[in-house]
Amino acid sequence: MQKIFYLSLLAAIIMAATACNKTDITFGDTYIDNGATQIIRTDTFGVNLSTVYTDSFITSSKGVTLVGGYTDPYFGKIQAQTFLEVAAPAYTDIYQYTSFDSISLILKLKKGTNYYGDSTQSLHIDVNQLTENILPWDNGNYLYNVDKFNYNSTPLGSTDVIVRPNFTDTIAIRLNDALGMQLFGMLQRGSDTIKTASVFLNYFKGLRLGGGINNKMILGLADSLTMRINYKKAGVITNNMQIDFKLANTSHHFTNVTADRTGTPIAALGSALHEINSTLTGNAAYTQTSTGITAKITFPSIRDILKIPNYAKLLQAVLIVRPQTSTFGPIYYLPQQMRLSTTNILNLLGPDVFVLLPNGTTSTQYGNLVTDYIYGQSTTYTYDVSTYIKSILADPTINVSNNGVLFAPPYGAYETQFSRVVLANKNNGTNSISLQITFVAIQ
Amino acid sequence: MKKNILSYIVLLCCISHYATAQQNNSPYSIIGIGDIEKSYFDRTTGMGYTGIALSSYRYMYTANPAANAALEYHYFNMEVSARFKSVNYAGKPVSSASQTNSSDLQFRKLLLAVKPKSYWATTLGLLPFSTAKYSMYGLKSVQGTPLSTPVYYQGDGGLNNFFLTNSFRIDSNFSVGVQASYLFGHMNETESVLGNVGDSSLTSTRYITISNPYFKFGAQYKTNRKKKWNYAAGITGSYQTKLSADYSLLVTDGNTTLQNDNIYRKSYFTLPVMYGAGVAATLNNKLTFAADYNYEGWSSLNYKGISYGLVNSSKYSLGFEYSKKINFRDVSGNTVASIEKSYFQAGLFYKTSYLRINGYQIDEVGGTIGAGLQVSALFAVNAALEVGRRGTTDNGLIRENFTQLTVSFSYRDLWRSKKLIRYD
Repeated sequence: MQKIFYLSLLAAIIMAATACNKTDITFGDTYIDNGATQIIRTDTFGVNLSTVYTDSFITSSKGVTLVGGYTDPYFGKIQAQTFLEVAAPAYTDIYQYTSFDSISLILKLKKGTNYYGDSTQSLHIDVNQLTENILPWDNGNYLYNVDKFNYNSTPLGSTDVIVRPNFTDTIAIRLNDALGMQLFGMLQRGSDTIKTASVFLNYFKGLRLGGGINNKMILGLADSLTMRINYKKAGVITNNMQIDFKLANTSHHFTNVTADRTGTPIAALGSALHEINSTLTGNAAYTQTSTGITAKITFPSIRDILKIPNYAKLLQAVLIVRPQTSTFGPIYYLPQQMRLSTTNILNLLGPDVFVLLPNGTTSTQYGNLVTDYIYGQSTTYTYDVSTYIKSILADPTINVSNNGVLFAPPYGAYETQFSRVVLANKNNGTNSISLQITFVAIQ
Repeated sequence: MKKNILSYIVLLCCISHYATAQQNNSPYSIIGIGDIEKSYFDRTTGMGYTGIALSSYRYMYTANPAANAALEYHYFNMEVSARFKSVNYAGKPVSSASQTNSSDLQFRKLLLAVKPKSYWATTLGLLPFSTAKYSMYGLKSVQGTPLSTPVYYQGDGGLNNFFLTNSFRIDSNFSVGVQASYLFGHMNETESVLGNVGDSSLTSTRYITISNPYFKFGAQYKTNRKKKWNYAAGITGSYQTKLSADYSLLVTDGNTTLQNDNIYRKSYFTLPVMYGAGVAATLNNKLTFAADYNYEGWSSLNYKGISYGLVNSSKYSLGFEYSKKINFRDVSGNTVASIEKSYFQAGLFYKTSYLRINGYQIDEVGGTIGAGLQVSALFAVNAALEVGRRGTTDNGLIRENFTQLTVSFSYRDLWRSKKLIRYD
């Protein structure tokens, strides 16, 4: 009997020693509403929209030759022209027994989203010779969207072309034969003008590519354009030969953009008025950065969240940007990527609103555009602005009326793409921007 | 004998050292006052918890406050119990494939009884009334939306039942008893609302202190022991009781304390009307058959959550026992005394718990076997093994398959032994 007692004693001790295991359980479903907290989502915090005008921005060295124009019901009559320099080819004495045939400008289409507007209409392109050299303002390094240089109003050549963006890849424009013969004569003679780049640049100051006033689209071309002379070389068999004058200095390759905003909601915007509230512009804000127009989003009442009784913590803030219905479509398509850049009263682009990834790095958000062409209402750009909103809530010195975010495409597209967005404010019945705040309240 | 007592103390120390906290994750214990303990850690543990009609001269039965009136006069009795429980979890919410079981050992009971008068026994005891222990990930719904946000729940605590039972023998067949309890305990409920990547969690910890007196009544009737078949019956009951609950709250966001309220809310948790009835039949003083029914009327209290509610709970149990006795006979062969040396038990139970979740009332079913041994005139050991399951894997719920071993040690000696001398 004693033995049994000790045996049970031993058993108890073994049991004790093997105790303590734990299983993790995850309820995928919500049956538990235990806890002292409530999670509440609200989108009642006001979002203020305004439109900001940028005087100028750099358009040189962007690798895109923009040409054309169109009339936008919200942004006005927009014209784009490109200025560039070509260089003479390296000289070799190969022009014996040759005769000039023709000169033309070969343009290559920019791959990707390379047009804006109605591509079913023909595009008129004029090629003009510059009458003054391309020189950046104040001997600087950059050329801006507002810069332009004089050119001979009689074009060297023109074309009307129906561009099929997915099929067309080259446009050739026949240029004035007189210019061609002059240049070819220099090659044949081995002229100093051809041999020395600076002399050539003074002789042939550059080209301007522009469109007629009746264009319906702006086309994006590559910067690898070529002025090509075709000539014949006599021999046993006559050979067709060619020599290329190529775009040389990309830093002197830039686009000039003008917009006539007469009759549009943002007509008042310009050098005299840099920011205008959406309530004065048809209850909408506008973004087309390539014409200097950017929508600004501020959250003037966001600090009111701190006054909510039992408010404990902001969990998530999501900004849902909804383009106004019927302002976009297959012709006036929306930009694929838009970012939010923090800004202040000066309306300059600051650091982008980022999202923290699980691996600890940060990533700029581009909005994940969802397009609903049928009803338009489900078209949204979505941003997690939790980090930004928290930073505002944490620092009471930030002026929430002036500090906000600019709604702009990423650099590159910023200067060269004409796709634009019209954002409705809350007074605009159609489809307004909203800030969804999810917070924890103590019950 | 002294050596035995020494071992006994060593064992107690061991058990209490290892059994300070419950480890078993019991997801359902997040609701209400936790899992209501079905066991009294007494001799009924091996009989499927069947014992409202049972009593013994040697062992303390706790299910019925009247039972201890049958204890032997002049003795004082002491019992401690420990339980080892291992649970295996199944169901969709169980996330880890490799770790699906948990186990722990707990010191669960301490009982002292004396019978100073032939008609009166008094018992002092400490038993668990309910336990809560959970840690799990869940989703908390965002109000007014179909969305949810991830949360982590953690909780522990429970109610203890500290009681004094007085049992009175009215006559040789009938006894009554009343258990005057003080239910006390606390629940620690922590909810962490998990932040986004790189963000801190908002943790709210609710500390609920619960306490209140609570009474349970019982009566037992049994027929004369000298017949071939003996019968017994018992009933127990307790009325609706409001337990006062004081809530304090601590809210922290990362390391920042947002709110620290001591006793921000005073409230009640109501225990419903509970009653039980049992019958038993004993053949030749050896074989016992017993059956119990227990009822708890939770539905009328209207405790409800989004997808759960507290509903009426019932327990049905059946038990069987074989008792091996040594009979002392006089010269003419008549049995003058019979001492139980050991016993063997088996039992079954089915319980519909007080929880209804996702439209399913969590139920529990199990079987037990038990054995007991009188080591000496003073010591007895009994052990019961239970295998059962609780819940279901349907409706996104969890099924717990559990195995538990309860071991009780009981000791008794003469009360006020200056006057009485034990001969054994």
